[in-house]
This record gives sequence, C-alpha cells and structure tokens, in this order.
Amino acid sequence: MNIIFAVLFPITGALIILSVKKSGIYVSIFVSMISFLTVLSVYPEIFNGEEINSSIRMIFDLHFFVDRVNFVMLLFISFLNILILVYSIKYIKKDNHGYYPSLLLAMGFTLGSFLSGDLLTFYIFFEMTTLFSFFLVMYRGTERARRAGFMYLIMCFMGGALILISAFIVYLQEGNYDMENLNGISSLLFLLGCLIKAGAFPLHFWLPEAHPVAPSPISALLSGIIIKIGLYGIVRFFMTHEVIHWITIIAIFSMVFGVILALFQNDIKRILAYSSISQIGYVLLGVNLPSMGIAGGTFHMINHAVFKSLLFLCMGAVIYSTGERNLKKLGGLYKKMPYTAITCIIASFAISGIPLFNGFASKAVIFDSLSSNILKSIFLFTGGGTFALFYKLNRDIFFGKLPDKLRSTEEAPKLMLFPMIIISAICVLIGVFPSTVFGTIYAGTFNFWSWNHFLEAFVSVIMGIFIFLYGEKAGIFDIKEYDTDRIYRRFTEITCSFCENINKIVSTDLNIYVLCVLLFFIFLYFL
Amino acid sequence: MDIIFIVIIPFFVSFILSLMRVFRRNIFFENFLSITGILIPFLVSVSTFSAVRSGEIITYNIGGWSPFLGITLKMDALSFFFSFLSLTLLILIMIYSLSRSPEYKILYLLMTGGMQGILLTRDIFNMYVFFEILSVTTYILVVSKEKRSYKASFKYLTLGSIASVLFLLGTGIVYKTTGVLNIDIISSMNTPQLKITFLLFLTSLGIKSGIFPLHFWIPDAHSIAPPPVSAFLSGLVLKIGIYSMLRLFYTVFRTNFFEMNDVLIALGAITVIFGSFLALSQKNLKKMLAYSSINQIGIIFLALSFGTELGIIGGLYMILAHAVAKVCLFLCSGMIGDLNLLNLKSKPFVSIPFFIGAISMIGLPFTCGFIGKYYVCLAAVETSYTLYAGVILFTSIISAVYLLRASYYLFRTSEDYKIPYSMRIPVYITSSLCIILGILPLMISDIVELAAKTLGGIV
Repeated sequence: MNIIFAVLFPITGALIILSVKKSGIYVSIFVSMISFLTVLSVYPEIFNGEEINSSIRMIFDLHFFVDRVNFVMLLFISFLNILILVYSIKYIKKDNHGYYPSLLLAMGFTLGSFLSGDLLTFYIFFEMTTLFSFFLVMYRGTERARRAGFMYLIMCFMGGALILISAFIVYLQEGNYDMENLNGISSLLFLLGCLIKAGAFPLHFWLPEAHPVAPSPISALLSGIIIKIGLYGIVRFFMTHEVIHWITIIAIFSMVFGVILALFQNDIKRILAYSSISQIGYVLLGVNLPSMGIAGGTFHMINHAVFKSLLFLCMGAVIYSTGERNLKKLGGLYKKMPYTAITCIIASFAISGIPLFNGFASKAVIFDSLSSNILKSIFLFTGGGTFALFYKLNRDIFFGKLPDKLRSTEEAPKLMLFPMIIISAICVLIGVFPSTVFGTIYAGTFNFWSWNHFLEAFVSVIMGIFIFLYGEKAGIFDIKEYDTDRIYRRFTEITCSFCENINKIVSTDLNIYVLCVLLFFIFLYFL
Repeated sequence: MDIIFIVIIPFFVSFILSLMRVFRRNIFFENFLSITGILIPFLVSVSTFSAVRSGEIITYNIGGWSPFLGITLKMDALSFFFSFLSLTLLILIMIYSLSRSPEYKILYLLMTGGMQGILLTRDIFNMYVFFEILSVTTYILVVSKEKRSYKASFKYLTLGSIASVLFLLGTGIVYKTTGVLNIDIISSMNTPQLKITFLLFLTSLGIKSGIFPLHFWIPDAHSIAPPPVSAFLSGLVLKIGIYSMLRLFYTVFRTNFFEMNDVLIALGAITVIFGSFLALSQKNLKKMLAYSSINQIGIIFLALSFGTELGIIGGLYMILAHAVAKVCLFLCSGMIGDLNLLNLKSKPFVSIPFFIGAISMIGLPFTCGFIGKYYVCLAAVETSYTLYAGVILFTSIISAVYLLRASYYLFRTSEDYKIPYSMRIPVYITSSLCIILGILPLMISDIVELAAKTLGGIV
C-alpha cells in the first residue's frame, strides 16, 4: 500500500465522523490502526535498504519520502496514536463532537510532516498540524486555555512563516525545495522556525502554557509527538549540513534551564512540560554532532516520544482519579493506584537514564559522541537534575502521607491502564534491546553496555540526589516562577493596546474622509 | 451568443421585473426570472471559455461602429476570469437572497449588468457609465431598515461620488491629450500620460477598492448592509476597482504606473498592516470581516504593484480566494443571530463552512488562499522585497488570530434554529470551492497564467 494512505486514512476518518455527527471513537481507533498497518507494510522495503519516494500532484507537488530514520519515527508515532485514542475513550467523558475529528486531523497531519520529503511539503503539514492542535489545546474552553491556545497558535505560525520564507529563498536560488539546498540566511530562518516548534530555549515559553492546559491525552500527543516535528526538521537539516555552533549553545541552555525551571513547578503537568524543554536540549545537542551523535539524537527523540507520552498519560490517570494536579496536595497514592505508580516509576527511570530503560541507551550514545569535558559535565548535571525532578515528582505523588481528601481514590479504569502498561513495556523492551531500534537508524555498531555508560548513569543519580537534598534544604522548589514569556506578554499587550488606540483614532467624520482623499492626492502628486 | 448578452440580459430582466410590479406578485416567476437573468450571462460567459483559453480575444463592436468611434466589448483571459468568477458568485448570492423584496432583485440585476459592463468594455467613458450604474445601485442596496444604514450609505455615496468625479475628470484629460477613448488604441500609441491623470484614476479607483487612506467607507457600509449585500460588496465590488486598475494601469498608464511602483507597494503594505490591526480590535463580527477585506485588498494591491508576472498571478489567485472566502464568510454571518464576537453561537452547518472560509482567508495549505499567499510571497522574494513577504506572513498570523477566534466561538452550539436550504446551499458551495480550488488546479490556472501573460510584467 502506498505510504500516503497513512496520512489520508486519519483525515478521511475525521471527515466521516464530522459528517455522521457521532462521537466516533471506534472509527478513530479503526483508522489509526489502518494507518499504523500502512506504515508497517513498507517495512520489507525499508529493511532492504530502499527508500520510498512518492508524490501527489496538486497545484504544487507534495513529496513524500521514507527512509530508515523516519520509518522508525512513523512506526512509533502511529502506534502511540492508537494508544492515545484508546486512552481517550474513558478520559474524555463529555464530548461535543469536536474532539475526535480534531485529534485525528492533528494525528494525520503530524504523520504527514514526518513523511515530508521537501521544504514546502514540510511547511504545509507543519501549518496544518498547528491549526488542529490549536483547537485541541483550547479544548477545555477556559480563559487560561484560550490564552495558551492563542500563544501556541501565534508562536507556531511564526515558525511556519519563517520556514516558508526560507523555502522561497531556496526555491528562487535552486529551483526546487530540497532541504540540502538550505544555506546562509535560509538555513537560519529554517532552523529558527523548527526551534520554535520544538520549544527550545528561549522560544520555549508557549510550551509550558499550552501543553498542561489541554486534556492529558492531548498533552501526551503534543509533548510526545507534535513538538518532534520541529526536531524532525532539524534532524533532516543536520543530515546534510555541517555542525552549527550556536545550536549547541541553545541546546545547553534548553537542557539546563528546562530542568531548573521544572524543579520550581508544583503543577504536575507543568513539570513535565518543562522537562520536555530539557529533553529537547538533549536531542539538539545530539543532532548537532557528527555521524553517531545525530543517530543518538534521533534515538533520544524517539525514546522521549515514548516515555513523555507515558508520563503524561500517568499524570492524566492521577488527575482523573483524584481531580487534583497540585503536587503539594497529592501523596501516598501508591497503595490506591499501584499500576499507575509502577508505570510512572518506569517512565521516570527511563527519562532519568537508568540502565535497562530506554532513556539510558540514547543518552549513552549522545554522551559517547561528546568531545569536550564542559559539555560532558553539563550533560551529567542535567541528568542529575532530571533524576532529582522525577524523584520529587514520584515521592510527592505516590509516597508519603495520603491526604484525607484522597482516601476514597480508586485506580484508573482498565482502558486507561492498558495503553500505559503497553507503553511502559516498550520502554523496558527498548531499554533491554536497544540495538533493535538503534540498528535501523545507525549503520555502525555501538556497545551500549560498557562501564563508561554505567558510570555516567551512576554519577547522574548521585548528582541528582545531591541536587534534590540541596533544593529541599534551601527551599528553592518554592521560588515564584520566572520565565521569558514576559517578553511575549508585553509584546501582545502592546499590540492590543495599539490596535485599540488606532480604533479610537479612526474618525467617523465625513469631512475628515474627504480631507484624506484630498491629502492623498496632493501627497502623491508632489512625491 | 454574442458577448453583448452578458451585459444586456441582466438589464433587460431587471426592466421586466420592474414592469411586473404593476401586477400581483408571483414569487415563483419572479425568482425564476431573477435567476435566469444571471444564469444566461453565466452560460454565455462559459461558452467563450475554450476560445479564451486558446488565447483568442472575442470582440464585439456595438452598433457596428469602428473601435475608433464606437464602443468595443472584448472578452480576453482577464475579463473572462473576473466575469466568470463574479457571475458564479452572483448566482449563489442571488439564491441566498431569494426571499428578499422585488426591489432588491431589480437593483441586484442592474448591478450585475453594470459589473459585467465594466469587465467587458474597452472604452474608458463607457467604463465610467457602467461604474455609475454599479455604484448607484449599491448605494441603495446598502440601506436597510436600520437607521444607521442611512448614514453609512450617505458616507458611501459621498466618497463614491468623489471617486466618480475624479474618474470623469481623468477621462476628460485622456481624451484631450490623445483624442480617443479606446483603451487598446491609446495603449498602442505608447505615449506616457500626464502624472495628474494617472493620480486622478488612482485616487478614484483607490476609493472604489479601498486602499489605505481612502478606505473609510468600507467598514461602515460593509458591516451595516444586509449580509448578502455585504457579501458581494466585499467579495466582488471591491475587486471591480482592482480590475479597472489592472486594465488601465498595465495598458494606458503603463509608464506612470511603473515609475511609481515603490510608492504603490508601500501603500499596499500600509493597507495590509492597517487593515489587519484594526480587524483585530473589532468587537463585531461583520465589522471585523470588513476590516479583513481591507487587509486582503492591501495584499492584492501589493501583489499587482510588483509588476512582475508572478505578482499578477499571485494577485489574481488572491482575488479569487478572497472573493470566494469572503462571500462564504458574509453569507455565514447572515445565519448567526448575535454578531457580537463574545456572544457568537451557531450550528455546525454554519460553523464548519465559516471555519473553512476562515482558513482560506488566513491562507492555510489546501485552501485557495494558500495558493494566493504562496505566489504573492514568492513574487515578493523574487523581486527582493523579502520584507514585504514578511509583512504579508506576519499579518496572516494576525488574521489567523482574529478569524480563528471568531470560528472558535462559533463552534459553540446554540439552540435550534431553522435556516432554509436555499440559504444553506450557497454557503456549502462557496466553502467547498475554497478547498477544491486549493487542491485541484482545474482550468483556472491556465486562465490566470494567460491573463498574467497578456498583461505582461516588467521584463
């Protein structure tokens, strides 16, 4: 089957649901399964080392392209899509017929962006994904959600606009939209656009606003999958380009600031959103290194998609059962929600890079390709921070004293636990057999189980314990949040008041209109 | 049939309709007549398609006079593009407004005739006459039962009359300096016109189409007029001003036009920014849509002022996209009860077409608007005005904010209300056209490219 159907099926499914006006959960799961099978069906060709090229003739040609790298991503993403949909059955109790169509459209267009073979196609799917995930962010309809949704929309469209301009520059220079032709100013614009979508520091501020306000399955989709579109663009870019130094700096800042800001948070979903920024930093650091590093970055990106969506689904289960998302008001849930606790701990191990879980493997590859000692120490520090963060998260939710309010808490429904257990199984499987996935991305061999890597994980854990103890003692976990979003807020405020002011100035007096006509004429005559 | 029927039949039917006012009102017959009055011109226009597409120009001399003395009607790719587009949308709007009074239909048909006349004629004075027919009928159509509509109509009337006077003055000077009024003959003389003549035409047509400091009548007239009237005012009447600019500036005033290129581009950019900022601050849906028209007109004007072939293609696609999407949006607005942005509520049969129209206006992929935005930005980058491409993309983000805000509110479902199918179908058709034209090139792309080639950019 042609690979394009992986994109077309979810979209058709959404249209069917819209036209029959039913909630459409079974249609959604069915089409996402077909989409997964479509991706799977090209496995033999990819396994033989072939690349698939196909295109749709519209007014512009849409080029689709599959090789080993994005095949693995597509496989994981289309599989996670199914699980997120299954999870939604119970989680979304009251649906006004808009949830599943937008979700399917967002999923379909996301798959499209991972399939895209040139800049224009990438841009087209990038924009469409933003559009539909915007509605998903605003699904709750609260004031906060609306504000976050528009912030998301503005920032991501900004990114899209930058990519489009870079595409035009390439087109006018070379006559095609190939990514390898990016150079100079166009590559700068392209990278900026992708960095905004990926949520890298200092353009990350929309991410901790937008991801937590959405319902948890959507947060999983956003943080796990949709921000990877930006990263995918960057991965493709670095597959044909030299190392760029300022990307390394951005990567370091994202890693460090993401994890520090995450430590300050008390909202369980905001913590995860900030930790996404930090993990994006790892990927950026990896892909900006020659040969093995880029494979490591890609591998980490896939792993992050897996464990971050698992974490969001776990937090969704906690919120579903308790109705509470403040860390201070949770605690002792281990006995009440054992399955959620275990899956959450597995995901936390994965993200902190504990051996035998998938995060360890990809971090090991990136760590091995680092050359300078400064980078290595920053790497270890961030690993430590991540460990401290997830130690704090798990301790405050699942251990300690159970608050009286939560005495009657029950385990989440089975339909929600099922996807979580499957994803945690994936975490462990990749962790134990990392080379099955890594082997498809990277041609060479890599020894995951050398002492070096165990030492790295061990140092991270020790450092994490120290960070945690210090933070607990100094009380830094309660610092009021401070972030770069102030610049954005200031900017929007100025824009809004500016618009209001022009609106006031615009007169309703006819004399002034006629005067304007006259002045226009005179002005142009003497120009 | 000769192309003269495109102009004559609407006038004739309108005359019959007004005669019918003497007898008792027969609604079926009235509706039948008013639809055929536009359908026949539409079919005549379609019948010329294959000839036009092969590059042929269909000529008709009224009364058999030579072009030097008499009036010539010509159908080339550019005229065909506008005529076909406007007639298609006019039929749909007519179907939407079948329940309105007979006077409305009489004026509507008169307006149709005037509009087609402007598109086909090659005589500047004749163009003026048709412009007057178009304007006078729209002044009346803007008026509704509301009291503020008189004020809006009066403003429109005042500025419209100024525009007409300037146009007539310009025509007089052209006649004095060249001795003929036929556009083709004047442009074959290749003599540059006086700057003042060019500016007279620019100001006049600028008022008609709503370029920045001349746009003041638009927000009032478009937001207060009844929904179908706002639809064709915004979707079509503004474009007729743009058409005349294209027709005159690329032929008669070619040298003047290219001399002032930079100024006109800047003017377009200011219009774009101004329109989008003001649209953002509106609280009323129709007023917001009216300002977004100014924004789009700015983009079109900008694109046409680049003077390159790509720019013209982009501008024409933008005209197509804006006409279809704006008609769709305004027709949707007619099915919503409360137009205050925060109180918007509707049913899916309104909100989904509105959403599609909105994404086409923003210029998101898979819609017609994207193709327009694509070519305009490409033209901007090509002529190394990359900054203007940035302006267009930036304002498209702003328009995304206000249009998606409106359509987000519209997704809230309201209580049951009934809308007849005659009003729903035009909305469905226009909204699906937004997508179809964005995915399939159909035949439109040939016509657009041919039109751009015949006008010819700077080489």
